[in-house]
Amino acid sequence: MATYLYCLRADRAHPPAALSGVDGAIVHAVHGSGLTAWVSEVANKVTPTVDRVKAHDTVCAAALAAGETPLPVRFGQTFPDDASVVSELAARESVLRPRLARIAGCVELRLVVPQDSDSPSEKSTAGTSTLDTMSAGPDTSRGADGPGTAFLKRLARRDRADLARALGCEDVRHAVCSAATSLIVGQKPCESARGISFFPVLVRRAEVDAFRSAVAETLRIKAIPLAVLGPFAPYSFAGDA
Amino acid sequence: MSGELLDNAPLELSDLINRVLDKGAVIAGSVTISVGDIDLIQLDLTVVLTAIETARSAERRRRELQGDLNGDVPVLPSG
Repeated sequence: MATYLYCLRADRAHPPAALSGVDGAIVHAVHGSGLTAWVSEVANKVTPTVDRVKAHDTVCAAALAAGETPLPVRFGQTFPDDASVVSELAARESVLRPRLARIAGCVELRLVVPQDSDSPSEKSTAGTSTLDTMSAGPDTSRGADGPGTAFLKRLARRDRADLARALGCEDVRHAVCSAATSLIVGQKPCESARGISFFPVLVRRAEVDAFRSAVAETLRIKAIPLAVLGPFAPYSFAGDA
Repeated sequence: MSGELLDNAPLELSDLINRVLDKGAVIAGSVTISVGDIDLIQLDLTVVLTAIETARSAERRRRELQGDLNGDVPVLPSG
C-alpha cells in the first residue's frame, strides 16, 4: 500500500468524516512543518481513470469548502507512507508556504471556449464525436486523393481549427480580462487540450459572483459563447514544488 | 448562443481531466500519466516531460555505455 496525496493546506482542517477519495479509500489528514496534507491509502500505482480523476477532484473540492484555500496536487502522486509525506513537507516547506500564500483566499475559475463555436467546418459536424468526425465526417478532400491522403488532409484541417480556436480564445481572454481587471488576482494564457480551449483566472472567493456578472455582461455585449466553470481549488496556480 | 453563458455539462468532463491531470502542484516522486495502460508521459520532479520510450532508450544506452566502460576499459590502479 502507499499514501496518495490530494492537497496541502496551511490550516489544520480535517476532512469531513467518511470523505472518500481514490478507489473509495477514506481521506485523512497528516501534519508536518505547520502544514496539513489530505491523503488516503492506495495501491502502489494509481493509473488515471475517469472515476479516480473525479475522486481526486472531489477531495480537493471538499478541502476548498473546509476552510482556507488548499494547494491542489496533481493527480497520481504517491508516497511510500504517511511519514514520507511529512518528510516531504519538511523538505519543501520554504517553497510550499509562498505558494499557499499566493492562492490564499482565492479560487480558480476556468473560462472555456466550446469546440463548436468558432469554425464553420466544425459547426457542420456538430453533434458528432471527434472519432465520428475523423472517420466519417464530411470529406471535401476526397476525389483524386486516396483514403490515406484524405485522412491526413482532414487532420490538417482539424489542426487549423484548433489554431483558430486558440486564437479566438485569446481574443476572449483579453476582452474578459479587460472588463474585469480589478476582480482578477491572477490569470494564465489560453490553452487548448482535449478538444477545448480555455483560460484560468484566480479570483478572490468573495468576488466570484461579481466576476461572473462582469463576464456575463461582457459576453452579452460582445456576443461571445463561453462557459465559466468553477470555482475550483486553484490547480492552475499551484505551480510545482 | 449570444450573450449568455453556455450550458456547462458537455464541457465539464474535458475540463476536469485537463485540470486534474495537467495542473496542480507536483510535490515529490514521479507522476505517470497513462491512458489504457499505456504510459504516455512521465513528469519528474523538475517537471521535464519525457516520452517514456525515449527515457527508456536513454536509460538502456546509459547502461550499455556503463557496461562497456566496466567491461572493456581497464581499471587503472589508484595512486
